[in-house]
Amino acid sequence: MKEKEIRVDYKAHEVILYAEKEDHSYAPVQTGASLTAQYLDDFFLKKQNLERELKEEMKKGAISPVYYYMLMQDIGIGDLAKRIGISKRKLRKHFRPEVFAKLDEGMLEKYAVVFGIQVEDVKGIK
Amino acid sequence: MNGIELPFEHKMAAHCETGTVTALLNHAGMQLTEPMVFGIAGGIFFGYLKSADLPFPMFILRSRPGEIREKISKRLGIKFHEQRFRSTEAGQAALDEAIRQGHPTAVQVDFFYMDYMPEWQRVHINAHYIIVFGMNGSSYHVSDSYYKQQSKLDRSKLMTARFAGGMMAPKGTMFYPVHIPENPDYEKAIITGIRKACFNMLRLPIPFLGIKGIRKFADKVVEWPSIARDMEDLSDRVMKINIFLEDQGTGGGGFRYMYATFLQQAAGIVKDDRLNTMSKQMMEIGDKWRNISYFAAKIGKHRDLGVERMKELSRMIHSQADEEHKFFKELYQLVK
Repeated sequence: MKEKEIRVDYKAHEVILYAEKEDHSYAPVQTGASLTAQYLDDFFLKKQNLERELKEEMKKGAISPVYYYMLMQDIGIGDLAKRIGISKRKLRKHFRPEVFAKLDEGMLEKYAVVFGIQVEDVKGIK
Repeated sequence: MNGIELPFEHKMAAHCETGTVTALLNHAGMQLTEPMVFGIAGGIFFGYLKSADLPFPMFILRSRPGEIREKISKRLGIKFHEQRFRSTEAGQAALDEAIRQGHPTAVQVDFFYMDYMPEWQRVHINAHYIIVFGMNGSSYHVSDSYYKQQSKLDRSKLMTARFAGGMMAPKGTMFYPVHIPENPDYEKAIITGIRKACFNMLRLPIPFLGIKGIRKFADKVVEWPSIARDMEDLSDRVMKINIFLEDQGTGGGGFRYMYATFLQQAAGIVKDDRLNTMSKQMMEIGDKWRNISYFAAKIGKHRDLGVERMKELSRMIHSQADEEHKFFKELYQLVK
């Protein structure tokens, strides 16, 4: 693609793309990210809807914070289980609020590190 | 601790691994472009992946993380000092020592913890690479090729990122070059890199890798509506096609633009004008991937994701498989 066709003015998220210059050589071009520029609002909208739905599920006692964060941060079950150091089967049990309520501090601390939050935030989501 | 800040030129790059390796080599005095590193390492690829480790099926467009460094080292005779660690303490001590000795050092990290990036960009991906070029008591100076300027990262954050578990766990991987050859044989390295890329695209006997991977993707994408949680999830997954192809560090058109640039530069070095022709073709293939990513973003945004639309998307991807099959067969003829 030609340089002038590829350029997007969007300072909040810039990337390097390789494009054809005027002299027909291909070279790096620093430009705004086209998808982010056009569709970031839609991304946030979906994220907010997901957050709201999951919080409602949690209020109803259907899911635990572990499940909430796993979906919000879009981590695969196998990946999360490995990060915590437990089996997938055991992780699935932690999705249930009554099992989650009995987890010890050490386990909650592991979740907090992986999700990049404080232990209090693992226990109660604001 | 006294602060250390090594002189290091921060530069954005298309992709984190090729960008990091290129920056380290440039710093060590080797004049090499990012596309050249990508091409010599035979980085171009395709794969359609599905696993319990992934929240949703995804595709990859480049070789396994870590392979860029391994192959560039092998093909140009560069030596890297590379280390992994069992313990966080040892990993931190070794990094600090490398900085003290004056080596800007690449580290493998989980991208999620790079908190200088906007929050909405940060996802859990263990295959991110950044360069550490300084430190003080509380933080490291880092150069991330996805970010406009150099940044600072908290010491404990960097260690969490270097020792994140899970899929492709970084295990504290760090490296820096220790030997740069005087007159590397670029011609031979370029030809080997191209040959290897053709092999990977055409001949791997695995049904979801190479051209077969593109076909697998085309066949499977029509099933996405049945595995997504709901319409918004499906929309998000379809729009991620665009992110994987463009915004998530590919140089555009799913690494195909960068590969076209490599072929153009390679044509000059090996003095074979046929590579220029191939380079133009690759650029056009990249344009078609870009069309797919525009299309995916558009139908995702409008929730226009019915059977017919998904089939249309599938046809576009199949046509890419045809084009790339033809392209790599032709390219292989030039280097075999």
